[in-house]
Amino acid sequence: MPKESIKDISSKLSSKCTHCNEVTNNPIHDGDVLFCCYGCQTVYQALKEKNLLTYYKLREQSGDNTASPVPNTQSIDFNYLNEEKFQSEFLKATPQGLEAKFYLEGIHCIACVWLLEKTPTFINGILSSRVQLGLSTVDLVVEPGADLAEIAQEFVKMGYRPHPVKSSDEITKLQNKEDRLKLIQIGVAAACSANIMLYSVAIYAGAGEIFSGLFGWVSFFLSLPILLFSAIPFYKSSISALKSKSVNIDIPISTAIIIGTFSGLYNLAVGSNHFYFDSIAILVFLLLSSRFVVHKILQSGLNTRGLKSLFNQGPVLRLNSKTNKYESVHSDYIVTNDILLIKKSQSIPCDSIILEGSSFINNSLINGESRPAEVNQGQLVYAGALNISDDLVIQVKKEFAQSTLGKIIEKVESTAGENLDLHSLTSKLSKWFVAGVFSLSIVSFLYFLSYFNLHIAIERTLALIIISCPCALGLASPLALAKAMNSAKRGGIIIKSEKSLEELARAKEVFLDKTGTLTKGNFDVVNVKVLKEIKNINELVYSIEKHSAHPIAQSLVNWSRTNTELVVSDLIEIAGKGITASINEHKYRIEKDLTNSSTNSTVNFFENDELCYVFTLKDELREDAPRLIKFLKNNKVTPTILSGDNLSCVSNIAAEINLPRSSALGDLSPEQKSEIVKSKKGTVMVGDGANDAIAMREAHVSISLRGAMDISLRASDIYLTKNPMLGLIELFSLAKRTYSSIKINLFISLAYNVLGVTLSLMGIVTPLFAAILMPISSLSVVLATLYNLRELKK
Amino acid sequence: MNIIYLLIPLALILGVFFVVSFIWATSKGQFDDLDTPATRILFDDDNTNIKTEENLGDLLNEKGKKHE
Repeated sequence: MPKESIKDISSKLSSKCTHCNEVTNNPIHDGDVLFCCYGCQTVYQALKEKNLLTYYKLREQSGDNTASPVPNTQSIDFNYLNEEKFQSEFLKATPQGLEAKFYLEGIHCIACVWLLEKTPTFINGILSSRVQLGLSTVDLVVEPGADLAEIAQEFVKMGYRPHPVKSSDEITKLQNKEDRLKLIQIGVAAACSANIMLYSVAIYAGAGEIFSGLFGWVSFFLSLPILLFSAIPFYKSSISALKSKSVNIDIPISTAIIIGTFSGLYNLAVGSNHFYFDSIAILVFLLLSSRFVVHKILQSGLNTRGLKSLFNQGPVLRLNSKTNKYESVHSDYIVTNDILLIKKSQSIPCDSIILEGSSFINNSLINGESRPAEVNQGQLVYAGALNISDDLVIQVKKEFAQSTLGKIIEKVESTAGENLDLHSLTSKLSKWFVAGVFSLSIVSFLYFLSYFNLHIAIERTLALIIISCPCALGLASPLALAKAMNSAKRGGIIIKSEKSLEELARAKEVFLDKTGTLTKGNFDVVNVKVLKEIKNINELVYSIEKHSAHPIAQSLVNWSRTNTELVVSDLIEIAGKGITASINEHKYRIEKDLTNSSTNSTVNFFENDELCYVFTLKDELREDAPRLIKFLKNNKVTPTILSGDNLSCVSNIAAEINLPRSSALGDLSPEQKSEIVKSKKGTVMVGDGANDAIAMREAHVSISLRGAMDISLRASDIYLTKNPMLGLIELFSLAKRTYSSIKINLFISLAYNVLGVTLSLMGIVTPLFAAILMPISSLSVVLATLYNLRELKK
Repeated sequence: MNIIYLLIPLALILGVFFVVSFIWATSKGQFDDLDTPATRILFDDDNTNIKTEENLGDLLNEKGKKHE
């Protein structure tokens, strides 16, 4: 080898993309603004054209100055949106126009709301547009006969990816109803408890001497709506817990509510002024509110049920046998024996057989194999495989539900929601707590009955039950979780179930998928050696490789970043080896170096048989992966790689992140992955493909990444929308902090209870005392939560 | 202090009126979306028939300067 002057082209100063704010090493210059890819540039241009650059100003002010990098959706054909069959199912005719609802991937901040709600001014056919930021949906009213496909394309140009949502969706309606009921219950509880407070303060202040009876009765009537309406959720959950022979926190709460109200009523009747109405009312209000906050935050994440209608496959081209033309249909309407045209970069919707064409397909979704496989006429292709290089004509053999992927989805969906909240610290504690309070009250009742009289026995036992009501206990975890989840959401982490945070804090084993999780999941040019500089190298590479369907060729086309095509002649492609061509009297040869290791591919560029450039391509490790592994080890969590990819690839990656070979497993089928996860305790599974979905179900906590397949999105408890490696680090430390905050809260509330119970047995507890102690205990839990989680992002 | 016998019912009637209004508003769906309206208030242009992007941009610039 001659001594070469090594010059690394890709190490230009890294800069930030104007549109998505991601760091890029290889920016596209457009005047004085920079972009990381043509997608972002297109969006910027589209906004500039329409005079909407205010979007960027607003975004800067919103404090969240990012956008998701634009998906490559140029090839999406939205014509199915104009089909009658589809429209009758998804659109609703109203006097104002047609109502359509879309879930838009990429809505994230104020600027998005502004931009999307301005659409009626610059997109034809839209009459009005309203965004729901929490759900990432937009409700459009369009003119009857408007071209919906055109409208959808406009959204894509702005960098959002639309998914139609059934507006008449029963689930959504039910959810709305439930949420409104919850809110009304909170409102009623708030109004009544505030009024009861007024009268109680008056009684404690001395008005009790004169007006005790009157104020007591008013308080009692005001507490009826709370007892009979607002507190219903507590009764329901207590009953369902008792039915399943378990104990939860709501049982002591319900008991305290009912006993408190009736003892107050009894005291009213006998003329003493010992009422607990105020404590009970405030308790219900606080608990309902804190639970509502948690519920809302959870809802704003992606809920599993909703995903079914959101992330079904997009449209495909189907041959219409009558006209002999391809028409775009929604993939839900494909049946067996349909003939489909699968374009480059579309995924295969159903298990099918290839009638025409040959192409490379990426099966990583099914088997985790990162390297594309070549398929030819007559071969079977499976649903979920991504067609990389060439158009294929296929005939459907099985409908989606019967395909491998369909079956995995079914498996995932059927087990979703089976995980009951039986392991959380709060419910464990509540068991002991309930048992303790009940046995204590029985013992104390009998003790006072035998040593004093019935009246004292009843009074002190009631006081004990009411004062030990686990108000603070009930608040301890929702508050900490709400704060943590809110902070997570700002960091682009969507948490679908609140129990995951606690489970994460206790995790012992983290299993990571390789392709697309630890690595970026596609080939990138990582290094360019220049032996002899050629001026227009980018144009040459682009013009030649554009004609090849090979994935490596496609990566080189992406690297060349130009649209200038030169005239190419004598183009010959040798399968699996390379390509030769002539441009401007020069002969060029680009060929793969077949003599190197398995993770990297080396490609040599010859001009007139002289080696000029050496490109190194690789499915690159994410840059923060080593940091993540180090972090996990420091936190006494064992990381393990589980991959379907071949063992040599996996070992290479493991070596790069300092993992021993023993904790890097390759060649695994989805079932083997899930067996391994099953055999361990305290497991977390991180992945992105369908081949991880079953394992995700077995893990205590499952995490999927941005760009993950819909299926693993649905299977996972947590979804990371931004930088996955840093996101995981943030998530783990967040979980740890939240968990310790919950523990402190539980300790505080238990301490209060011990104090309260002791005092009530001594006979010191009066309604006034309860009215002071109970809010103080709740308040101290709130303050402790705020203090312990004070460093979380506001 | 007899006035209290009149004031209590009056206060309660007023309270009931507000609770009923709240229930009505909720069931009409006015509280379905609790996030977006908070952001909408920040947009200065409510008249979408007039092209006001430039003015809006200027306004926002001024605001930004004030913050600095």
